[in-house]
Amino acid sequence: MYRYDEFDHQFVRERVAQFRGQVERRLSGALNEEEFKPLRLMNGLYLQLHAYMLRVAIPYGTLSSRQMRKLADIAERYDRGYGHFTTRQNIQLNWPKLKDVPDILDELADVEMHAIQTSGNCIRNVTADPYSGVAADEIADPRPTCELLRQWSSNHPEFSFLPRKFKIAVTGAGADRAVIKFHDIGLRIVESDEGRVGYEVWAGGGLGRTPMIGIKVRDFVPAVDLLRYVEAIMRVYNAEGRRDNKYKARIKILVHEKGGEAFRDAVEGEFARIPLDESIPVEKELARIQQFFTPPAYETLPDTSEVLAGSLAAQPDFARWVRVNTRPHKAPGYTIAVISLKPTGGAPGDATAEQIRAMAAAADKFSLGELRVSAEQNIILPYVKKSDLHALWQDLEDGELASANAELISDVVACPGLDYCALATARSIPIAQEITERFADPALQEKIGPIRIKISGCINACGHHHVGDIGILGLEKTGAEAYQITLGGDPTDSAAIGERSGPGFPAEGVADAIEKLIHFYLEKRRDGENFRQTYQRLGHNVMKEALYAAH
Amino acid sequence: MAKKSAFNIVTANHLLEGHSVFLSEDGWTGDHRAARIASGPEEAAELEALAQADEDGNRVVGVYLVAVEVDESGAPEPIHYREKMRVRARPSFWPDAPKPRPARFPAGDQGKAQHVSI
Repeated sequence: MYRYDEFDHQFVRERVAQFRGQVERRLSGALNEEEFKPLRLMNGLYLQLHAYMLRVAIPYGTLSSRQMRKLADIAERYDRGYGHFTTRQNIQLNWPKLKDVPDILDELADVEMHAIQTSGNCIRNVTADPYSGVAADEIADPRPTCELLRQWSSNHPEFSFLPRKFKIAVTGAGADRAVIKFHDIGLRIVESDEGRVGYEVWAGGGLGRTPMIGIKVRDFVPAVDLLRYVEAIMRVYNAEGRRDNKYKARIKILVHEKGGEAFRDAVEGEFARIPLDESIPVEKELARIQQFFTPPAYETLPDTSEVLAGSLAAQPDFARWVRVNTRPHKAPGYTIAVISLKPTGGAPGDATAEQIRAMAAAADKFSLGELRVSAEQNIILPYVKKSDLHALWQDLEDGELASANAELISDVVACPGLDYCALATARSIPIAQEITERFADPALQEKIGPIRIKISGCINACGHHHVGDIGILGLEKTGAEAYQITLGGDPTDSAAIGERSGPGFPAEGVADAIEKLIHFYLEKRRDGENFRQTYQRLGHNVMKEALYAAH
Repeated sequence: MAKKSAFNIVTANHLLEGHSVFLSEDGWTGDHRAARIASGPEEAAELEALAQADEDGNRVVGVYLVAVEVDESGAPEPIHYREKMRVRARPSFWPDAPKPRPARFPAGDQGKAQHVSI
């Protein structure tokens, strides 16, 4: 993991001290809310429906057990004993008091964390494949690139007042788990024919009220040119992005209004104007940062474990959890374990302070003290020995963290919705709860197979509903909550935006409609087909009719 | 958005603590049913101006009017579901969550923002 150097420590402490002064001035009346609001947002502090909300950055979703414990302590001491892991690989505290926030930030700084650039029109926390560094299909660990971009973009004077927020995602794997085609900039680490490492660059993707799939800007940008190239994209956006209408201010609008070819030409023109000798020595910096992400000294292990085989045979529940919640690892004898934060009837992504501590303890015991947060609002243990899986599962069972549903129907992604959010037009969490209760049977979930249900409580799409196999968007219709369902969204390489199915459903009709659709799929699917494949074979209209048969 | 109504109350967030509060006859309270009710647009404007003075005085933040119905006991209840959610002061799916009900605190000069050392 990356460790702060002296500069990082000083920078973060100075920001905390600055914010402490700003809060003092706000409370004394020297700053009014209009003046204070942009300052608090730059430090991740929002004012929500019921209370303030603090969004803490978890760079590229990677954190240590020590940091995890600190989050638990903060949740207990300053909040209400729980936190919400988000689709942006961050964590949100729902009830902090303004007077406590400088102390919270100081405590975060103790463990090399902060809330800087988790809001505002700047480059936000860079996100990554949650299986970075360990996935069996990985070409290179994307986290050094993320860290380089984080350092480069933190407090970058040229990019602190962009037309709108800006999100960058990086993957180093064959399969895209970082959703690069739906980010302002998406980067995929690739190797050229000559064996040089570089990046495939995408831009102009996004969700929100105007979902768009990004365009490929370049097949290959050598590592040495990475920051110059990203800077060229940012400059084109900064100069030409719309500032007259916040709903048209994201780079996706610029890219699509300007046209792919013209945008590429503008980027290439800008790139050519940025001289190499004035840029940061990227390869040297990457090499320095890469030292923090050296793979651990893996034990030499057989890829199969006799201990594991015995437990699998003896305990069907454990066997199910292993089948559903582990992923292939690049090192023999190791696996990636997904801790689901989606218990039946739970609030997706929420974990109590006790559970956060239990996950930190599990990381220490079984995963070299490291954890990841996924965009699916789950926690990942990246370095688990297969022979330890049973002991891990038992510990997770004790902490009520052993739901065997990763990427199944009850692994529902949901934004906080109107239960917390000031922008929301409808509730998300109760819809998720009802769906997870409706499909609680683990055998049924496995029978249904992989499927993504994603719920957003407003058009801003924090629940990523556009890329769900089943997307649910909560809106207001004639003074009541109503839910529009989209079908066929896909966040992966075969990127697709879900297609609207028809009139909205009332809250009490959503789970019924989905149940009907799922039963239709189970009836109609061919051997070996998953939901997406059946949807593609039968087509949107056929699946849509099944949904409305329940209406 | 909220329907227009003959009756309104005014809400804001406590500057220091963040929770939602409502302006009553004797200061700000977490209990919306104790809120002062404005009848008609003129009273609503007057109520909002009173509340705004407390926002200007750095005691509360985010002042706005909430359209309400008045029940048989004379207490206000919001009309729009968003405001119904807000007056619960906790998530709808968590009925036994602790509510951040503050002690009642006065409006206006009596309770000017005290300096809080942080």
